Amino acid sequence: MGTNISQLERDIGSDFPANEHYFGLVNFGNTCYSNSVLQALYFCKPFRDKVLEYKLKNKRNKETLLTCLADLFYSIATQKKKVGSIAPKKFIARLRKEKEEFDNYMQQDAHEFLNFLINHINEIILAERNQGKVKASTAGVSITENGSTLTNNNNSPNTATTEPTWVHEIFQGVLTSETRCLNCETISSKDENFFDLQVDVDQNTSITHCLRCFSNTETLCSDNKFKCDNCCSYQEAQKRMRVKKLPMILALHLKRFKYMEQYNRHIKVSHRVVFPLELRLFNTSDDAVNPDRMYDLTAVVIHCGSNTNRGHYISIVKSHGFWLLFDDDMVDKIDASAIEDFYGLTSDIQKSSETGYLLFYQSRDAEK
Amino acid sequence: METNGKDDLKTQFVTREGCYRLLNLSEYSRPNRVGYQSNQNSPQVRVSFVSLPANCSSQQQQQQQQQSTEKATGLNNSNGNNVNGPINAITSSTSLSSSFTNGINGIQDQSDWICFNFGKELYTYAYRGVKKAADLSKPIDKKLYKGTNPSCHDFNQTTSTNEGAPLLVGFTTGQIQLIYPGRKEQGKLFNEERLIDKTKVTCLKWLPNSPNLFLAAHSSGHLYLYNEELPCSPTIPVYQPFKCGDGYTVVTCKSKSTRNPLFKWAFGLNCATNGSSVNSSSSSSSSSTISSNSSSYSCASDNSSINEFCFSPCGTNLAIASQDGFLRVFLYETMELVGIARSYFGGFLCVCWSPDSKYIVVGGEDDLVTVYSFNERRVVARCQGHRSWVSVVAFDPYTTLTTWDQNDFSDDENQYEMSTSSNLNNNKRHRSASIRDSTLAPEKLICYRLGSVSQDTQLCLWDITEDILRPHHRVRLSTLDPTQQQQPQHNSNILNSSTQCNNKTESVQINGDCSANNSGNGDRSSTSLIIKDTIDSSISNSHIKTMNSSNSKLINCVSGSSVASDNITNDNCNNGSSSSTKKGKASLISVGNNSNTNLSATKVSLNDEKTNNHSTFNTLTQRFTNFSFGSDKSSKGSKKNFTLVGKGSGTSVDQKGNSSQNCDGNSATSTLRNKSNGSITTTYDAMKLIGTPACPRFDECPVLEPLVCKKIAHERLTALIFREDCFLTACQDGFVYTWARPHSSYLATSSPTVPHSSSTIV
Repeated sequence: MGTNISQLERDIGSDFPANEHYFGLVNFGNTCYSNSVLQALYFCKPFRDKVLEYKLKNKRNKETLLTCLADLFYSIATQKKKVGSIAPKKFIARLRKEKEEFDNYMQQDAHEFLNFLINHINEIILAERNQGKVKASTAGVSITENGSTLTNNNNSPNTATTEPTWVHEIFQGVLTSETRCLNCETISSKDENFFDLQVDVDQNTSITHCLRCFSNTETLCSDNKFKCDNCCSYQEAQKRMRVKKLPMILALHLKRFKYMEQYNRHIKVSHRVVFPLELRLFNTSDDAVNPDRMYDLTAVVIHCGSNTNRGHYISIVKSHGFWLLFDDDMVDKIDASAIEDFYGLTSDIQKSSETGYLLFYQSRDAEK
Repeated sequence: METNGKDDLKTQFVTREGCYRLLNLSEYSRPNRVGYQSNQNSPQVRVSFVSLPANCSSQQQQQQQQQSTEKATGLNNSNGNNVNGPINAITSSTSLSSSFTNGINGIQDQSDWICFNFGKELYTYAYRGVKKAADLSKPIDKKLYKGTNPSCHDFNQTTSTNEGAPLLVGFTTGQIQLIYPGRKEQGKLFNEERLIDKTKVTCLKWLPNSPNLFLAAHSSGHLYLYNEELPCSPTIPVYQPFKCGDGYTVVTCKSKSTRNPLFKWAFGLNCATNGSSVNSSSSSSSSSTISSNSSSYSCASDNSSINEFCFSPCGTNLAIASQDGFLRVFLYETMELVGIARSYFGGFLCVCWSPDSKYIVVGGEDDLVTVYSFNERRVVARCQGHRSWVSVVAFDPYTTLTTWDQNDFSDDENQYEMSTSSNLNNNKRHRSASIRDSTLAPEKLICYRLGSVSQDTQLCLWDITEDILRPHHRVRLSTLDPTQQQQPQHNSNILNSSTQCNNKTESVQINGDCSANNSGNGDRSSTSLIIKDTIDSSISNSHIKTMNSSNSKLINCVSGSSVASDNITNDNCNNGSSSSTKKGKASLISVGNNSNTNLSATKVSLNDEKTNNHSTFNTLTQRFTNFSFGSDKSSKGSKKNFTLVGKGSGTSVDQKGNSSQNCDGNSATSTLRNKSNGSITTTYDAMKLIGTPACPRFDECPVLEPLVCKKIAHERLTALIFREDCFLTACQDGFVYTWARPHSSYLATSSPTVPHSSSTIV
C-alpha cells in the first residue's frame, strides 16, 4: 500500500495541485458503498466547500452525521501528507446509529446511501436552523449569500415555506410534470423537487438518450388513469416530466438493478451506457431558466460485480484536470481514456462488470 | 427494456429510391470465424478502401520509381527486433491470392481492396463487390501485431497500381507503418522510437493527390505532416515556430536536413505549453499571443485528442474534429484557421465534407449530427435520431441529388447511374465524382444524402435539402411578415425563367474550366448553381440591403482566397496539381459563399413553390422534429419553435421568440465580416460560444429527423462507406457488411458469373 501511494505521487509529479489531498478510505467491512460516495462528494467542490464551512462555523455541536462528515472532510483537507489513507471510523459508527439498514456488515446500495445522506444532512441543517431560530437567522442569510450562484430560487413553490439550505442550492433541481387530459385537453402541471434523477438504462445508448427517455411522454390509461380536475373524473391522459430548474450538481442514478420475479432477486443490468465528459440537457421544460447550462462530469461511482449483494463500489473523480480512481484505501491516477472501461458491456452474456452507477455532473458556472 | 432481442436486426430497409438489402455473401471478417469475441476495448474497427486502376504503363513506371527510391533510402525494417518499437508483425502471410490475380488478368479491368483492423489484427482482402461472394480464405494480406494494436489506416489511391497500393497503418502506441499489402517486404516505420508522439494514432490520411505526403493525428491532440521518403528525426525533434493563430500553432522540425515530421500542428492549450517549452528563444512573441488566447480556453485543456480529420473534396480545406468539442477548418496550404464550430456538448468524433465542399457534417458525443455551412461559417442544422454517440458520418455522393420537374425519381436514378458510371471510368478517384451531373437538367435545389452510424448499433440516413440549410428561415421570419410572403415568390419565378438561359451559357463556360482541372462532377454542378445564384440575387429587388453587404464581402473573400492561392505556389510541400487550378477554384468558391448567404429569401420561396407542386418532393423535404406536446401547442411561450409542417402545404415555419433569431442572424453576418478581417474566432469558451453561429442554442437551429433509422448490428457500428452500387458498414465485432443499393444487380445466390455488359461495378 505504501508503494502504491508513492506511486501516485510519482504519477502526478510536479503537477501535484497545492492544497489538494488524495486520501483513500479504509473499508470497515463492506463499507465501500459509503467510501465511494464520500469520495465522489468530496470532489464535488461546492459540496466540499460547504461542508468545510460548516465545520468552521459549528465548532462543537452535538454529534450528528453532518458533524462526522465535516470532521472527516476536514481531516482529509488538513493532512500534512498529500496522499495516504484515512479511516472514517467515526462517520461509519454514526451512520450505523442513524439508520438501522446500514447497521450491519452487508453490502448496501450506493444510491440509497447517497439519497439518505443528502436528505439527512439537509434535515440536520433545517433542524439546527429551527432550533436556534433567534440567532440562526443571521447564519441562514450568510449561507444563501455565499452559496447562491443560481439566479432564481425565490419562486420555487416547494421551497417557499423554508428558505433553501445549501444542500438545496447544490443538489436540488425542479421537475415539472405536465399532464394533458385526453378528454378536455386541459394541461395541468405540477412541480417536484429532486436531488437526483433516476434513469432507466437501455443497451448501447448514451446517458443523453436515457435522460430523453426519462422525459418521454407516457400515456396514463386503464388502471393508471389521471384524475382530471376539469372533468372531475378519471380520464386518460398524457404525462411528461421535464427539468424546470437545473441543479448545480446533477446527480444521475442509472437504474442498473432490476427486480426479476423469476429469480426473486435483483439482477444487475450491465448494458453499455456511455456518458460524456460534458453534458447539456435536452429534456428541459419550455420555461426552464437556464436550459443550456453546461455540465462537466466530476465523479462517477462504479459498481463492480454481477449483482447487488456480491459486489464492490469504487469511484473515479476528476481533480485539477486529471482523473483518480479511489478503491477504498487505494488511490490511482488513471487516464481519461480509461473511463470507457466503465460504460458497461455490449453483450448480454451475464458477466461481472464494472459499470458507471452514479454520475455527478457539475455545472460549469458553479466554479465561478 | 430488453429491446435488443436477437431477431430485430434489419437486413433490408426502404427509402424513396427503393430497397437496400444486406448481402450475406458479401460479408468480410477474419478468415476463421470464431464465436463472439469481445473487442470491446480495442480500437475502433475501421475500413479503408482503394480502387486499383486498370493496367497503365505510366503508373507502373511510377511504381517502379517508388520502389527504387525505397531501396535507395534504405528502410529501417530490420526485422522489427527493436525493443522500443513493439511493432512486430509475427505472421505476415503474403499470399497474393490466385483468384485476385485472375481478376486482373481476366475480365475485370479494375479491382478494389478492402482493409480493416480488428484487435491486434489487420486484414486486406480483394473486395469483390455486390456480385461476387467474399472469399475469406485468401486474404491478400494479414498481419498480427504484438504489443500494439492497429488503430487506423489509409491506402494511397494516388500511387496505386493494378498490383496494389501502399497502406499506412497507425498504432495505439503511436507508431506508423507503411506497408505494401501482398508483398513480402516489411515496409517502413515512422515514429518507431515514439520520439515524435507516444500517444495513439487516431487518424491517418494521405494528402489529396500526393504520392508521399501524409498527415497523422494523435490522441495527444497533435497533427503531424510526414513525407514517407524522408527519415524520422533520430532524437526527440526540436521544433521552431512556423505559424501561429487563434488557439493553434504550427511548428517545424529544427534541423539541417529535412526530416519527419515536416510540420506539427497543435491546438488549444497544448499548443501554448508545447510551443513555448520546445523553443522558448525565438517563439516568445508567438507564444505570448497564444497564452492570451488560452486564458479563455477553459474547456478540454486536459484532453483535446483529434478524433478525425478530413480534406474537402476540392482539396483545399482541412476539417478537424476534436475531443474538445471543436470542429476547426483550415485552409490547408496557408495553415489559416477559417472556421470553427462547437458541439452542443462533448467531443466531436467524426467529420465529413459534402461532395461539393460546401458543408461539413460532424458527429459526436451529443448524439447529434451537426451540419456546418462552410460558406456561411455557421451551424445550420442538427440531426437528432441516434441513441448514442455518433461514430461515423458520411455523405452519399451517389444519392445526393438535385430535384427538378420530374415526378418519378426511380427512373431518373437509373439514368443517372448509367451516366456516372461511364464518367467514372475516366476518373480514377471516383470519390470526387460526386453529385448528379448538373448539366443534364436545370436544377433547382440540392438534396444531400447523409448517412451516420453510431454506438447505438443503428444506421441513420438523412436527407438534407438546401432550403433547410440556408439562412432564409431567419431572414424571412425576421424581415418579412406572413402577409408579404407571396411577393418574393413571384419575383423568383420571374427570375427563374430569366436565369435559366443565362445559367446555361455560364455553366458551359465554367464546365470547360473545371474539366480541364480534372476536378470531377461535383465541382461542376456546384459552380453552375452558384452562378445562377448570383444572377438571382442581382436581379432581386426585394433584398437590396443584403445584396450590398454581399458585394462588399465578396470582394474581401475573393482577395483573401487569391492570397491563399499565391501561397500555394510557394509551398514546397504541394506537389502535383497546378496552382492555377487551385486559384481558379478558390475564387469560384468564394463567389459562391457570399451569394448563397444572401440569396436565401428568394431561394426559399422558390423551394416552397416546388414543395407545393410536386408531392414527391415533400418526402424529400426535411421534417423537423415536432416538439409540441401532443397535437397542439400546450406549452406557452414554446421555445421549440420549429414545427415545420411536413406534408404538402409548403414549408411554413412557426415563429415565436423571433428576437433571439434576429440576433442570431445578425451575428452570423458579423462573423463573416470578422472572417474577412482575418479573425475567425474570439473565444474558445463553450460558455461564450453558445448562441453564436458556431454553436447555436438548441432551439435556435433546425432539428432534423432521420429519413431512416435502423438497428443493424449487435455491436456498435464503426464504419460507413458509400460506394456506387452499395454501401458498407463495419461493426466493432470485426464484421464488414455490404448493403446493395436499390436497382443494383447484386449477388442473390452464389452463382459465379454475371454478364459483364450489365455491370455497374467500377
